[in-house]
Amino acid sequence: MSGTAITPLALVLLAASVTFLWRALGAVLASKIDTEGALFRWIACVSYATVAGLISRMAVLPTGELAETPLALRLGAVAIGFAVYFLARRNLLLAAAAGAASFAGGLALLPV
Amino acid sequence: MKAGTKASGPGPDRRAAFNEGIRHGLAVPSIVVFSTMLGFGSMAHANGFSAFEAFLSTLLVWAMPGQVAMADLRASGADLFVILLAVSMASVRFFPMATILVGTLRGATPDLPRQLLIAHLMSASTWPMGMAASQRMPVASAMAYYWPVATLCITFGCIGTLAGYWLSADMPEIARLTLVFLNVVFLSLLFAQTRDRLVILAVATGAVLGPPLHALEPNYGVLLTGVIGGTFAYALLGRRR
Repeated sequence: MSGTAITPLALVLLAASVTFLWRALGAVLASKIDTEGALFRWIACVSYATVAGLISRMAVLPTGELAETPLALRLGAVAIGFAVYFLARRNLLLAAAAGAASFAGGLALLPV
Repeated sequence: MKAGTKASGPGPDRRAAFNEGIRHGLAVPSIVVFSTMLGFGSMAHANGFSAFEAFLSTLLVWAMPGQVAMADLRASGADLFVILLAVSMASVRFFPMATILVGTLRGATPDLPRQLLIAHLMSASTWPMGMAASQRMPVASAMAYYWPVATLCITFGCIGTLAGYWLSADMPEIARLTLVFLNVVFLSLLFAQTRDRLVILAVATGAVLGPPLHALEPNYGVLLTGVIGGTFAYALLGRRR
């Protein structure tokens, strides 16, 4: 059955259900697991690696319009964000703004 | 991660943590989530969803990759089963993430309905913020911190979806691109606050493996990254505690 055979609203509700299923499974497992135990630490490692991998993929291999911007500009701007973060005594707001501003500046200077 | 959290001890009380959550939620994540969902809103518009359906996707799915897969595959005429499988694969990460976040906060939230709400409000922004809070404050305060952060994020996400649905075509390209990129910078920076060696190793391994594994296997790349990277970090530093 094609995805267009059902209404967009029904598709949204189905998509919400399959996503919520994973969240709910995690929440249910959370109440049964020993949070001091080895299994919990391993799952935590998997979670951190997963989220970090997702974000790194967004920077290196973005989808959509961002894919057409130069890789060096994206990585350079992230690096500037990190540099400002540690120089400005861990100021997240300033660091994020500096990273985004260098990206915008780079885009304005470079022909995309 | 110190497995287990501080039950009491130093750190802000619940009211102070709640206020900090409001401040942190309003500072950057709101802009970041707003701009992320701006992109989804304009895509939903282009792919024939109504504004209400786009809004509902953000409120109920609340996972950018899954929402994009849904809108994109429907527009390409894919089979319903394929669409739902893709959405599901894009969201498997919530399983370990919910286990860890809900497990960490369960001392302050013993009832299942609220635990499910914690899990539903999780995103790439709110999960690291909640985890970081649980390491620097008592668990009841971390819970009081998480609610405003997470609520503000999803609220701004819904507003961003609608704004994107109606406006983003009128924005200059450079502004649009920078808003999307702000998301990437901010999410990367969320990991800069980590000081635990095991977490740093897991994050670094995941960051290195993420792009190549995605290129190799777009459907399962995120999952493989988590399992391989996480297991590697655990094997190296996690067993002896």
